[in-house]
Amino acid sequence: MSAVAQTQYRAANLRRVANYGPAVVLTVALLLLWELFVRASQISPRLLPSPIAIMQALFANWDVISGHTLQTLLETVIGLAIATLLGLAIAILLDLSSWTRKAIYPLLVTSQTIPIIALAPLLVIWFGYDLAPKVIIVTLYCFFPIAVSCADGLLGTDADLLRLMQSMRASRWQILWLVRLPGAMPSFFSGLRIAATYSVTGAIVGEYVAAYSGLGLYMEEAAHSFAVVLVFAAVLVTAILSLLLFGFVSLLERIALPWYQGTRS
Amino acid sequence: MDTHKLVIQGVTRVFRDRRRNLEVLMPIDLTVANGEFVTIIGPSGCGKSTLFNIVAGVDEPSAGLVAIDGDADMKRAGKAGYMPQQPLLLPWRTVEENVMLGLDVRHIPRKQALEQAHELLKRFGLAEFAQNYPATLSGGMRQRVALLRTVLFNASFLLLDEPFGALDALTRLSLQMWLLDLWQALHSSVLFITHDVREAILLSDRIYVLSARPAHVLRVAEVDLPRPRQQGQLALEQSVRLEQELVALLMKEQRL
Amino acid sequence: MNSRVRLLLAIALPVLLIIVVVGVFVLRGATTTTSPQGAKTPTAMTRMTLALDWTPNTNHTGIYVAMAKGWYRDQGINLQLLPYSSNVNPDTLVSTGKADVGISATESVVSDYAVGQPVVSIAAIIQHNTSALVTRADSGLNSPRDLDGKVYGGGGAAYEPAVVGEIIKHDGGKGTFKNVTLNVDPIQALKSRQVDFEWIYEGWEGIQAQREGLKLNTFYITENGVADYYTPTIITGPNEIKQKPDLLHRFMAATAQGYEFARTHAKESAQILIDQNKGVFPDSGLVFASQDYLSPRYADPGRKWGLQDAAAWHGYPEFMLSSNGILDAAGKPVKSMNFDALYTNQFLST
Repeated sequence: MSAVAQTQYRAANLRRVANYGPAVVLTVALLLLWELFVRASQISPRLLPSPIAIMQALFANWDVISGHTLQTLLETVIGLAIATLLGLAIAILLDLSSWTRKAIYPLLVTSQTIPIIALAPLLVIWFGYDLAPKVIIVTLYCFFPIAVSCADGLLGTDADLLRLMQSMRASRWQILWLVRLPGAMPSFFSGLRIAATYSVTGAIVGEYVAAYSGLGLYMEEAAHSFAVVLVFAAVLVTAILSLLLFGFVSLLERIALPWYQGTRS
Repeated sequence: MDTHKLVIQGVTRVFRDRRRNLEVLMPIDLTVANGEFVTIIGPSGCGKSTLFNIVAGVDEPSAGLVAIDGDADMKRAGKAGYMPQQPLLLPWRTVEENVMLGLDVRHIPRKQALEQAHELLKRFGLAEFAQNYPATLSGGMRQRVALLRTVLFNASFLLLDEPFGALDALTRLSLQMWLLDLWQALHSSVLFITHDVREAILLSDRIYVLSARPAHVLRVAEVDLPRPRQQGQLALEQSVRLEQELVALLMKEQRL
Repeated sequence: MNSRVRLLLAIALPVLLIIVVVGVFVLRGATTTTSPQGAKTPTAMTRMTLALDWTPNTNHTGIYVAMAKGWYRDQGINLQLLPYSSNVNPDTLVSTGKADVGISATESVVSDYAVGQPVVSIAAIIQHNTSALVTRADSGLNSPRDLDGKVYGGGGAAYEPAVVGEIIKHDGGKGTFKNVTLNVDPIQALKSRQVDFEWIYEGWEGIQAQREGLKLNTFYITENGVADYYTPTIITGPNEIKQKPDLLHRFMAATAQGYEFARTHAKESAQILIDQNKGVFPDSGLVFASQDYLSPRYADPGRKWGLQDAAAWHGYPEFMLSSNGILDAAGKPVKSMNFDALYTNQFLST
């Protein structure tokens, strides 16, 4: 990399760190407001605990909560990984011909409208209480944004570029692999970011269906024992997990699409 | 007769759009001899790019014959190095990897392809940019890289569609000289499109002037200037005369 | 970095993440929260699954006691508890054979029969109904007839309007009220005054209200015109009864042992419940208080635990049917039913 490019790169990194500044400031401000509100209004801790109380509860119960967190995290990353592969495969399938697109798209949309309450008994009876039902639900909710975004990205390939490839005698699959898929990556990552944001919630919904452990089950147990502060503590962990996953996907995007970053932030 | 690189005979192209027929090419006769530099000029929208697409094998003529190296029946795709107007460099590939794109398509092993690409970059003065990404390059650099990609794919026959159209005058000039060097070194046959008459005169052996749509050949002009060409030759009287004649022809067509 | 390297990295990093998470998970040997009984399970034991109706609470104490004391093991049973699922109830699991036994309530047992997925109640966990309608002591709603036109925070079951209406009418009211389906802690709902009255278990939510200092008016439903009935009960499927009667006998023997112990050892049993469910009960005081309330109520003094009387299986179910509270699979109210098919005491030692 030339010296000029290196300086630009370093400046971009500093900018990225500075980018988090406003978010941190706003979050801290909101937390302070929350704490003050709870103290001032004397609201019951069983309705709305204060942020400090939530943190304390989190640390006090960390040995139990960490186990549940790990379980939920496992379900999430496996489900998200499968969703990514599935989403890519479906995007390619949709791209194959207009017939497949017309045939599959409505089914795709319908898959997102199936309510859990209808699916749940089948999942429990067929798959029991282990990893499978949760992974299935995470996959179900996460593959859709990935598939749709990637399919849209594939559609948007430059016609001139296609002609160039055809003039080089590239086969359909070569064009897909060399040009169209890489070109669809910005859209793909768009979808992946959305999926990553929903993935943890999906795992928790899955745990409501069938789970020996996990943050979703933990929240139910805490709620039924009237330990609302623990429910909030679990919610906090969920939020952190979601942010971490989102950050991970952003990191991947930065690695995979370095040139794309420059034109956005 | 020794086979020309390219022979186009009586080629027409009609696009069917619902009930209407759009006649774009009507019929065209054109040849490019081995090692010759031929330019096509014509008013905008006359169908130059359509003709190119046909030669490159991306499109088929509605009637007529197109022969490359004397063979009219084979698949034309892959027989020429085709360079459309935009450089179309893949942003996720380095310069090196972009140059070797054609070899990738041909399933040449990656290591070998990269070596050949690097050789070419070195030969034509771009070696230091081999690891750069296209986003960091200027417009002129990108055109050069795109040209090298085209050349690496097929050095014997080049189809160049207005490669310097989007560049400023000085960059364009240095690229024109660079292209001539390339052409001379590789002994390619070149079919070149431009709307810049002076560029056509500077670069070519022969110039075909196409009419407005539906396009046919209005005139074939020989450019008698000695090689290697220089910018100064454009000021010669014969060049000026040719330029004015061609410009007048084009202006008439443009108005139609 | 060229495109090849970027591609490999973009694939390698997620794979690495998965490996790390799986690795930490496996190393930690992350255990389930509903930890089953002791680690050693000889292969001669029969595996048996019990589906819980709710997150662990003092209704389940006898089972946890029997697990902790190894009484299921003694009967050759390796009991596995299936955790609570808000989307799938034990009745479904039991009637499809996914669970051997489960915990349910009279209302569900009657409903299951009506829709053609019957289960059989084989023991009553608590002998008398301990549920009540409650209002805030400061609400001025001091008797059931005051509930006319008020807001009820319900669970969305078809029989609730009928039963609640009956209670109000029994006290001289009209029996009309606003029915709102809530998925919220009933104590908080009352505290926030978003609802006027709730239907709660005295032994759990009632205890919690006391602990929070929320004073309530309590209208026990059995004192207000509703026939006594069993909730919760232990259920099993008809196929299970046909195919595995011996297993059910052994299961009930151990379970009865557990509840008999819990009747007389409230404190120790409560401690077992807490220990068997690490992290589920951050407030152990609630568990102890609830257990103190419930232990003597598992069965009347001098009577063995779990036995079911015909009166309880005729009175209340008949009432539910006659108030159109029970619907069949097509959604039409069921008018009659063979109540004796709903329960059996055959697996309890009399």
